[in-house]
Amino acid sequence: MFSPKDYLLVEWANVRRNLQETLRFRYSESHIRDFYAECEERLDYIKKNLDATSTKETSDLREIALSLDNLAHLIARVERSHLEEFSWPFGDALAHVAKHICTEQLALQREPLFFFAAEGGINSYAIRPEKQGPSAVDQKIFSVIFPRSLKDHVLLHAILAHEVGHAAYATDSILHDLQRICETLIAGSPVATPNGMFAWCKNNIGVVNKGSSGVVAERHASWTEEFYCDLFGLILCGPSYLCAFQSMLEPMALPKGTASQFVPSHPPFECRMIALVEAATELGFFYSRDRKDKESLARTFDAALIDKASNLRAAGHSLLISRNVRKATRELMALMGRFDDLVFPPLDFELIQKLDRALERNIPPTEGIVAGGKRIRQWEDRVPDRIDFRHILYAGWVHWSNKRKLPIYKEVDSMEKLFSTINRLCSHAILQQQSIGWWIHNLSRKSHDGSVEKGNPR
Amino acid sequence: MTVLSRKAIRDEILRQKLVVTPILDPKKQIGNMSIDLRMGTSAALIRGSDLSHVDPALYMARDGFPGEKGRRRKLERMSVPFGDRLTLHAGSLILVSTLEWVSLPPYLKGVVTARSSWAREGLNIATATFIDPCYNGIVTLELANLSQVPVVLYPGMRIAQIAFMHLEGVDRKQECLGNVGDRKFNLSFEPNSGDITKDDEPFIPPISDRAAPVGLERRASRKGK
Repeated sequence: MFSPKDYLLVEWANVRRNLQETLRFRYSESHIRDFYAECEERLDYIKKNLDATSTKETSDLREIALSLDNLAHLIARVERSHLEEFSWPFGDALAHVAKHICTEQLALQREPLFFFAAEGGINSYAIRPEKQGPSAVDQKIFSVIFPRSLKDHVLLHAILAHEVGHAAYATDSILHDLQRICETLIAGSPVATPNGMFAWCKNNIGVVNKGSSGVVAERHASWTEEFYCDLFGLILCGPSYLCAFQSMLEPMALPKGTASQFVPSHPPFECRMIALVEAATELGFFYSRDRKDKESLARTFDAALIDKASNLRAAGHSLLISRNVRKATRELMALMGRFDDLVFPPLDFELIQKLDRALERNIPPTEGIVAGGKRIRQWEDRVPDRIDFRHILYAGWVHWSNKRKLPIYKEVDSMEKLFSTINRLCSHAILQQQSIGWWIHNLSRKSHDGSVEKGNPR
Repeated sequence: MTVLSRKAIRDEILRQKLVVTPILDPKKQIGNMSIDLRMGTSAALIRGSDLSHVDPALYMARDGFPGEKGRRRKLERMSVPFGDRLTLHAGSLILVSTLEWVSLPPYLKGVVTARSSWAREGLNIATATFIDPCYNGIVTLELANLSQVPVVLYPGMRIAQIAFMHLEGVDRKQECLGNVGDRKFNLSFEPNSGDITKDDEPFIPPISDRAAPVGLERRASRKGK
């Protein structure tokens, strides 16, 4: 027999041993250093609390047990995380733009740590945010999950922008503002209230069982958050998000006429797609409209998305009110614009054309090819160009759309090969951009303070 | 065959016929007749712990578990992000990618060697120094530490160099033909082992005719492959 406190003391020692064991695994030193230090701090804090708690204070002991349990989960992920199983340059680039909005605006709060791992499943993308760590902790740890089978498929990784929306929703400092935007988004629609949502589900997707009022309220909150996260993903990652969303979620959509016992946890794909295209139009993301110049490169890409939404709308899948979607989009854009690098950067179509040409030659769409056409001295004196990873993704999707319609790519083998090659080229371009970031960052440090110590630009 | 000078290399790059990207510091990275190549972030180590030897016959078992295992089990893949390090122990061999993507026109071939300052530390780029015209991909460097002390490598460091030779009798206006992905090693993104049996199959007896080495080939012989 153990007393609860003794058991926790033994478990604490086990968890600490587990943390030390993680150093045996080959997770990148630069990726694990901060994670290890943060976990050590948390263990120290838990131990101090445990020592100060008597075995009769059962409620405090339970809190400590939960903290320890959470920490044990986080530490175990390190053992299951291998850089070879996911695109870590993409993860780093995403974490860089997401970190500010996920930081609580408190005096002692540090930027959150993003920890990456791969799991099974074909669309198991997730970010598991910490709502609240142990109270001494001022640094949250977010676990970012990639599907193992899609290791280099960075074009599809754009869907992770949606998950950043969930992570932001777990940030107390902006929760109130986000909730207000959510209210705008669903206002006036059949899903504006939990009861309205159930009635709509009953009539449109054959839901038969309401369950308890708590369940319906919870599903209503979930639907609202999902609609908001879609907008968030679109604003963060741009049109690539829309393509990744359609590609990944449409095959998983519930076929029409399939009766569902309870209200599903996510709104139907069709309604979300219509809302997204509405928002993309509001954001001016369909660049080729009425254009005959360089923007026409995106014509096939734009048309595919617009047509898809039109067909769904014609089939009666509209759910949210158009003007409210547009209003919520503007409000969310204004909020996200307050954070550095968070919003999809304005596009320069000359750049996209150059990236497209690089892809056409099977070259990673990045810096070197852009240098072409310059005079030698200009080129030699230049600082390498930084290209936002979201522009690389956009160029990849546009290239895919244009190539996909060629007869040769109607065959499954060549289609798969083409998509895989474009993804790998884009993934490599993001890696090369990371090297440019290191180069510029450490070069400027050297010139400013003469320091030889190298820093990480992430 | 003529070797391209610094000026000729720059001209080919600016004409976009030759692609070596990214070149972070053209002034220092382009020498009198070569471009320095940086270490990339992918590496492959020979996994010695569960292989008794390399046998070309294993590569011939092209389908199913034994063949795949024979080819893949040999190399252990590693990612080494910028800021991390890789220790190459004395006498060991490792395959690493270059950071740079290289794309050659049909009239140029590449020759890759170690940088002399690294060679003096014992770091040798073992073999396969030629890169064919029309090659398109990262360059795999076969690094061997010939010294008696370990060498630490950091991704992003300039460890190799590539010189270019002009092929006589090839028109500069000629384009690379065919699907680039069909050429051996083309469109490489990370270090891979090659196929040592390709086109030499008639000389290699099937594995089922011999005693199978430990661990790998028994299944192959059972299947009669």
